[in-house]
Amino acid sequence: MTLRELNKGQSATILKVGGEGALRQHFLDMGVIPGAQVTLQKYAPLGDPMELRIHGYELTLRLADAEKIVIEMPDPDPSPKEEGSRSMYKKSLPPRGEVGGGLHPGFGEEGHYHEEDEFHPISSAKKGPVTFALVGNQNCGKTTLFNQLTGSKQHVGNFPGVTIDRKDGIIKGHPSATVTDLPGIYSLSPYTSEEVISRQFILENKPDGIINIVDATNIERNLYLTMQLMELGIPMVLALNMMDEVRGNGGTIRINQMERLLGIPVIPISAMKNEGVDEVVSHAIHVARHNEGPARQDFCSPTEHGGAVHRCLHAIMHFIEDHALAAGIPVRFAASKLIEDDKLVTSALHLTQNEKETIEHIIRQMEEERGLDRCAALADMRFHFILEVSSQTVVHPEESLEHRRSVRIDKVLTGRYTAIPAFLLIMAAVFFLTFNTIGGWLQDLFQRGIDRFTAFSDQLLTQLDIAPPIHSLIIDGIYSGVGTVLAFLPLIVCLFFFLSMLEDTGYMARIAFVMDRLLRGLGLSGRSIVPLLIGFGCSVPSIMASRTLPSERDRRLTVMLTPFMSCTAKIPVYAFFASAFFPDKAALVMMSLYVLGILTGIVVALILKRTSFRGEAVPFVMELPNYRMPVAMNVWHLLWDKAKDFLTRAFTVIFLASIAVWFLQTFDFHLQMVTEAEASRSMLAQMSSLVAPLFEPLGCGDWRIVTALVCGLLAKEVVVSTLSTLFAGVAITSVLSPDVAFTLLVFCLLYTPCIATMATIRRELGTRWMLAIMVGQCVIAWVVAFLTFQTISLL
Amino acid sequence: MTMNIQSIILLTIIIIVAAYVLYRYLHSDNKCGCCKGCNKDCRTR
Repeated sequence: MTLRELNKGQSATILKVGGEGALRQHFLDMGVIPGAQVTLQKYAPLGDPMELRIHGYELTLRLADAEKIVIEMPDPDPSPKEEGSRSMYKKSLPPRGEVGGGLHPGFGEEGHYHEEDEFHPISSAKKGPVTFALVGNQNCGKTTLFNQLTGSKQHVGNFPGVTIDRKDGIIKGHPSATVTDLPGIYSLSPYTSEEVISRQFILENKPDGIINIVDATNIERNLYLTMQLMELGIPMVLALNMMDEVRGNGGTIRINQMERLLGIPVIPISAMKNEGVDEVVSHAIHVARHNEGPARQDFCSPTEHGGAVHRCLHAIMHFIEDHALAAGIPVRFAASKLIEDDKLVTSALHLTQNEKETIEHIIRQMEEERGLDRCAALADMRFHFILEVSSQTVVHPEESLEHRRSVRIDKVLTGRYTAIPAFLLIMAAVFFLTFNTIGGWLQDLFQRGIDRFTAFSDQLLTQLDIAPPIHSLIIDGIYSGVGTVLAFLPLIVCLFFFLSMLEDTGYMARIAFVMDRLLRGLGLSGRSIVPLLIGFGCSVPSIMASRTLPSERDRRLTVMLTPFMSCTAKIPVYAFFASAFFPDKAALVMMSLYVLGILTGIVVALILKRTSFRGEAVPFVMELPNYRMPVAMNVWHLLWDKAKDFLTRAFTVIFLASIAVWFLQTFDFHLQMVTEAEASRSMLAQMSSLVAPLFEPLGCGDWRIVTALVCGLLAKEVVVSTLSTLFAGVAITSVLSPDVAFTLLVFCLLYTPCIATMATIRRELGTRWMLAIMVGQCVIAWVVAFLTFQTISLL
Repeated sequence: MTMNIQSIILLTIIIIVAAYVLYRYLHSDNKCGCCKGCNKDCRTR
């Protein structure tokens, strides 16, 4: 029987995990291992994916992936079963040996705190700067802890070679201690770019210490990463976050016992309430300065299942010791990764063919003795250790308040008949608040400020008797161009405020869960829905939001589809033409444009899915965290980062582009200034006239229209202002027919996005992709506009 | 066309600023993605 056949509310035990490659490794890393107990909570409203409860947390899984997991129904037994897989392991656990007797290094509440003084001299304590890596699962409060550790002393950049945010900060009160926030990951397997980045950072940058933050309400799954980090042998501390929730629900964790079992400092904290953070810092700096690595790195039992995994690991460790040392990779870590068939580690070790074959034999022997494949055997070994530690140190509450609340909320937000209406209502509210009320009001305020500043500058330049060309450059070029884009800032900040609220509360994960089936038809996963929806507001934050997508392929495809979601900047263009040519049907015309944009996007997605974006679907194995209130500080930091990023772009790309367009519009080829009446002599108009014949088949061969479209590359609203200027004194309805007007609208809908969007695409995907999108959009716009014009002409 | 001194000064400032912005833009955007051997200081975007 497979997991797909499980009914809602039923529980089963996993017997075998199928699949291969990244998907299978994801399963294992998330705790979907043979022997684990799993309960089906519900299906998504559209029937796929499913929501499971395993190891005390909720996980989503597609039905096609669930088919690869073989399960066994439990025996009918009147005795009550414990939730999760704890009952599976608890009976057979011998007490695990402890490490560190509470003396040196003396971490934790019970031990000595190893202060340096005249009676307790410390030899070879590292002086000078210390660096830390902050590592943890997604949704464990890592960002909150990072913000508590560093306050405003953060710097945002990106990791080499990938567009993954990298945050560095100086720890408050410790100017020589810096911490780098690594991406949220579930393991150190090399299957997602975040995992590779984190691993590379730790192995190459060699931080002095690791701060591993763990969600104490979901400790079993979180400790999986902890174990892999311990294998690296780097000094580390374990911060058990959300301890206030654990205690509030009647649970507890025996911290000192856990420290003795794990051999690393364990500190209970609540990052949101800033509790225990100072202690984390003190312990982290202590272990880093004294180079106190984990006292335990050996998690495999010599007696469990005949010691197969234990013997295999230790045999390989002895065998590759010299290679690991030469490669600078910790031996235990290297051995684990070799067993998992990690290509990156295998190539880094430079093993001979004979050595590889020997290792393969050892692993096969282990698989035969253990009765599991190598990856499952390792995952099982880790989870066995974790559950052992958990059974001795963690007192779980019956069901947490947060989980009960989440289940109640999910009855509406992911209910079969209520999920999609609730989603549409929430997104409508977000857009309404962003573009009509809060954001719209702020934008008006901003625009008025910009207009006042422009008027003041205009007056000042006149008083200073600045030459007309320079005056025009500053006011009509720079201020106009940069000012138009700057006015977007309130909308960007507002959108990201609501976006971060959706993300931080946990609702974003639910949206992805509900929309996954719909988007899979386009070759995307449910996670892409949010960037695409944001694209209806503005393409720039939409493309920025696509960074949250875990797959590079999905991110690229989502960015390519974003321009088809008609942004608000085009509304003035639609309104201008609709009111002039279709006064009675303006709303219908505008709605048809939106629908046409979406349909064109769907067609393009289907074509790309079968051509440039072929390949296996990205696994949709995702945690559904409990709903939580967003942390104000996190939201503030995010908004500040986005605003800074946007302002930087406005004062670079837009600034330069504004100057360039102004120059082309203001001068002819003899570098003589042209007046408004002589606009056709300008370089821009002359160049547009060369291109105008291309638009003849669309009925838009007038150079004034082409000039306006070219100017629309700066910002879409500029199309209207340019048309107004170039058609001054002439009614546009006398120049164009309604057919041509609608064709022009279709072209405006689909052609190259504004320069701010192109600059963002260039940064996210590179110049090649930017040019491809630029040209591609123009071609698609021309083809669809041509078909529209021909169809209308035939009717 | 002749320009007064304040126009020349303003134009010079604009040209210098534009050149600086162009230089920063060409040399800072995702630097680490386009070359090998970038160091820890290569962080700007």
